[in-house]
Amino acid sequence: MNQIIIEIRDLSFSYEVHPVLENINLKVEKGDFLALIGPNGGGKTTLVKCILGFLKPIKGKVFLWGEEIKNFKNWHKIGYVPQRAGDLIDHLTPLSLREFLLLPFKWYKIPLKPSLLNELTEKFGMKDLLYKKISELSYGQLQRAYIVRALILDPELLILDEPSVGLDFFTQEVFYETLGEFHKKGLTIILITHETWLLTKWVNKVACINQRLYFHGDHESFCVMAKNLEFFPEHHKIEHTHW
Amino acid sequence: MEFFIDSISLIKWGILSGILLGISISFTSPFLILKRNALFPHALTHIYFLAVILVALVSNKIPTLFSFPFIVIFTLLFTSLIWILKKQTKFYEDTATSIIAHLALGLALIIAAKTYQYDARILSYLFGSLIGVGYKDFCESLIVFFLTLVLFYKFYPLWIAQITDKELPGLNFKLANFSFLLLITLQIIIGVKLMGILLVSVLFIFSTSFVLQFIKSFKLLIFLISFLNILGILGGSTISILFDIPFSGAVVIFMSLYVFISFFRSFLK
Repeated sequence: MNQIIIEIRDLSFSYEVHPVLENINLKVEKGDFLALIGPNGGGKTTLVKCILGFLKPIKGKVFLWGEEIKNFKNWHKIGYVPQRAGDLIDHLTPLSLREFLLLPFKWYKIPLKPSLLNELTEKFGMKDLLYKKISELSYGQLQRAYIVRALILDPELLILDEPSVGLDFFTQEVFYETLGEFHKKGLTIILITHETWLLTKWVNKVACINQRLYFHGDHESFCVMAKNLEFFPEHHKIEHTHW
Repeated sequence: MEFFIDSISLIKWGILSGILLGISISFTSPFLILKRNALFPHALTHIYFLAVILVALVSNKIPTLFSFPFIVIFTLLFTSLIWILKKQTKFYEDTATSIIAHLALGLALIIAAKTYQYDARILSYLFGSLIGVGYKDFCESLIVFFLTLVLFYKFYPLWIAQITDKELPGLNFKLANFSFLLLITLQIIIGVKLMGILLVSVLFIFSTSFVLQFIKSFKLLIFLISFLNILGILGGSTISILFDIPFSGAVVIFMSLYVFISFFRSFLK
């Protein structure tokens, strides 16, 4: 069995009185490329926020590399790209792309790896943009910038919340292909997505969440189960024609 | 010319304090503007005014030494009501800021009127005075300047983080945010003596908003804002002496040039 990177035990969360997550138990192993799927408002982003310590669960615990989240220190091992990251940059933001990409080294006080910066910017087609003002980049370029920044510390775990929203189909293909390469090299990835076509191509594990965890397993079993079972309540049925 | 030189010698501590303050503010103002909180310094001046009125009320009962820390602590505590109000009521931050600032100003005016402090001294608080700034104030500006450098060096990556990201795993922003608030408070306290409650926030906004229009890199940003703030202080002093007009108003007029240049630059584009 591979090393367990994330372990979630009996996790529940609610916004005021509205329960969002109930008794979630989930393990993510090293080398997983896990797609977190489910309907809008099903609690996918909330679960990720609990994993990253942004939200405190009302019940249950999260362990990262076997350590309870409140004691966890090695946050530089995790790369994170938030939902609609490209929207976060204001048109006045006075940073060049290079300055933006190097920010994590200052946040986590890790020595700079210039070779990785070169490799990543080359791979994601951003090398010629390094000295451009970040706010002058297009939405798609900004999304890629956030992804490069998440990878710049050479993390062991990458968490992406709907990263391809706003990207055209071709850019999406290139992006996921690059992500697939990193996965083959050993990067563990959690991907929140609604794009079900991805599941057949890149992902090896699937977790379906709609307040509760309805399914967690490998991609093949998910395809079989999805054809025979209804994971979600009637009004939240997922379409499984693509599988 | 002789009159000009005589005037300069009278206001030298004021000009030196202004230069130090202009540099100090350039380290914090970009973050205020980028977080769309440009009116925050103005709100702080209202709270500071209440603190000053309260100190004046008990000035004969407490040693002068305690006045400054009292003003700082009171301003910080009263300011924290903004976030308490925001959290409890779900108001937007600028709405909560406006409510707390007006509450402070209203209270200050009532206390001033009822305790017979409603006199000429209030005018000097409202509009500042270059002549009124002495060696002691210069020393305070120097301390705030060095404190700004230290806290900026320690926390600026986290201040930037709040412009580029809403949340980041494993980073604790509490101390960084408190340091930022402390610096703004101290800069306001120093600035009010020079520019007055009504106009001190000009130093936070005019140069910074101008530079942010065209700057492409963070490295040059602070240098340019400092330069324009110093130019504003020196230009304002000169206009003030030559035309015998209030210093704070003269600085505003001088710095309005930056805004006009911004306007015409975008117009010509």
